[in-house]
Amino acid sequence: MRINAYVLAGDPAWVEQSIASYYRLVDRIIVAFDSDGRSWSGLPMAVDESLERLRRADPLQKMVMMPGQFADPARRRMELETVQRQAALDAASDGADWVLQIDTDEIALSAGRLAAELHTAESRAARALEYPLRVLYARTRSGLFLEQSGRFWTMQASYPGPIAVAAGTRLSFARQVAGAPVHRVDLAPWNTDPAHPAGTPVHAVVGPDETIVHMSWVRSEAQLAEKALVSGHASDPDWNDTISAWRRRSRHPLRTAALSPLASDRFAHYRLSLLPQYAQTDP
Amino acid sequence: MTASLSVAVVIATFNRAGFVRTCLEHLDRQTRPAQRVVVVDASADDRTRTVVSQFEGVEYRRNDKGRGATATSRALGLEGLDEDVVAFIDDDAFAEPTWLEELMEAYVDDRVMAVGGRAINDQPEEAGEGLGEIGLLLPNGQLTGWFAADPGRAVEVDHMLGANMSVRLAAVRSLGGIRDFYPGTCLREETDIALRMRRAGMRIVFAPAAVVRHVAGDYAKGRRFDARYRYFGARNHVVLLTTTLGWRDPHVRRYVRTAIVGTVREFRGGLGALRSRRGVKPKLKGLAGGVRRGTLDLVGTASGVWAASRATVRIAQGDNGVA
Repeated sequence: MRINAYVLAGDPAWVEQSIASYYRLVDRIIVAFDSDGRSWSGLPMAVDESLERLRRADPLQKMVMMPGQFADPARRRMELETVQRQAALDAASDGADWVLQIDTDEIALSAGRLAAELHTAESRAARALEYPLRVLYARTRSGLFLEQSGRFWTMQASYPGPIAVAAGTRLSFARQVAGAPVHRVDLAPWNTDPAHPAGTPVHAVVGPDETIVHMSWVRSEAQLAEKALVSGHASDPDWNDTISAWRRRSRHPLRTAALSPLASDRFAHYRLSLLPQYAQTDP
Repeated sequence: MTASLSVAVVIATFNRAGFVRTCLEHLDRQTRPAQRVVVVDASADDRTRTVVSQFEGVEYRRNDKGRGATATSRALGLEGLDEDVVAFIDDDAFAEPTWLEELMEAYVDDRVMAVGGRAINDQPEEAGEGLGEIGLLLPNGQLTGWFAADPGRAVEVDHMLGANMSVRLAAVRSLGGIRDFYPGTCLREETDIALRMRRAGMRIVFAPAAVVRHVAGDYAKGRRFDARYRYFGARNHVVLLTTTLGWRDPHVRRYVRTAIVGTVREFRGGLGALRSRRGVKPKLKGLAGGVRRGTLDLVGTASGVWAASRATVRIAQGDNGVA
């Protein structure tokens, strides 16, 4: 089975760790980026630094650079994201059976298990692989991570879209695919994602150390502010509240985890998790 | 390659002489004829015997157990066969001309020990439903079906539909033959051999080009999907998991939890009808439906645990439940 991947360059945090986590599985990685170094919303972003980090993570020259014009302040951010992803996916589909679409702040903890589930998906004629992401929210001074969880600290998966799709797939929204036969992997035999209905079928189960960790919020405050700015979230009316909550939870992780069962928002439950391999790594 | 493999077709039937006739007529039109065709009849009368006598070369066998013993009929059908592969087709499943040829094609791979095919029901959209999850044993102990789906190529599965399935005879015999601990509606009886094969590491594929038209004949007793169907579905599922995978297999305890959660959901759904529906009659109907379904699931699961413990003892004594 031939596997390619694509990434969007612009967010330098965790790039090297992300690429290294699945590098051996893929033959080619398409790197799509805005040639003017702008975000979808038209603001400048750290494309050069991202490209520099990507090149450092490519000892076998598997990467193919794909510059393009993806910024347009007049169009909706998610629409532009879908366009950029589709262009990258189309390029990555050439000569591949499957294409990984793992963002640069997502790290596969077990490339072997990911590959095994891809093979299972292929053997069952699925066209998309839904693989559980653990959302890491902050890193404490002692190296523990605050992780989104169930109300009583149970492990919880998140699915922003299939982590791999069959070559030639059409994306419907960002990296999501409408109506494709899915092979769905979760952390338990029953759906753990509160964003999905309870009865959503689970086709395979992986352990916590076989998932993908999403480092979206594990970064410095300056990096977080920049990400919000370029991705368009900074214009959200409640952005200041969001960043204040992140700051508060980051400073008081133990209290945040202990009081988690009391939170009314089902996406605001946290547990403390150990990931020693990333305890000291700078994002 | 597969031309060198011989194949027998076994039809298990009960009180459906007319359907058996049509089924045999379709088998007569196969592009790859079977070396042997066997009809195993559990009916109380001779109508099926008369029909079979009109088809030259078709063998007639009796199953004196009568209704609710489909697996026993399958086992009787296997007796004395020396073909490489045995294909099972329901009496109300009518084979496309290339059915047997397509089933046998999948055996070109020596590692394939069983092959199932599509059973179309003439429902709109059925070819596209369930793609990616055909014939699976899920981690929570439930089974998926979707045997009318057409994935466009052969796919690996955990189990097959009894209306359209085939196995290597040597594989079945190496596992001790067919078991029959599935009374009532006989639900899950066909899954038994498949899960035992999977547990032994054998490979099963679903060949979508091997098509039968499943017309769903009259039921031996009651209607399809009635209370009896639901009760035996729950009961026999527990028997299936425990006797094929073992009591300690994680699917068993996960399924018990799944069944309990499902039961609670049915009761809550029934109570929810009191709030969401308008009018006394619809409210009571919704409540009764939820309570009825939940109760059937609960009682079926509980009796399944009892039946499974008895079946486990019989298996340990070398009894397949067929005699």
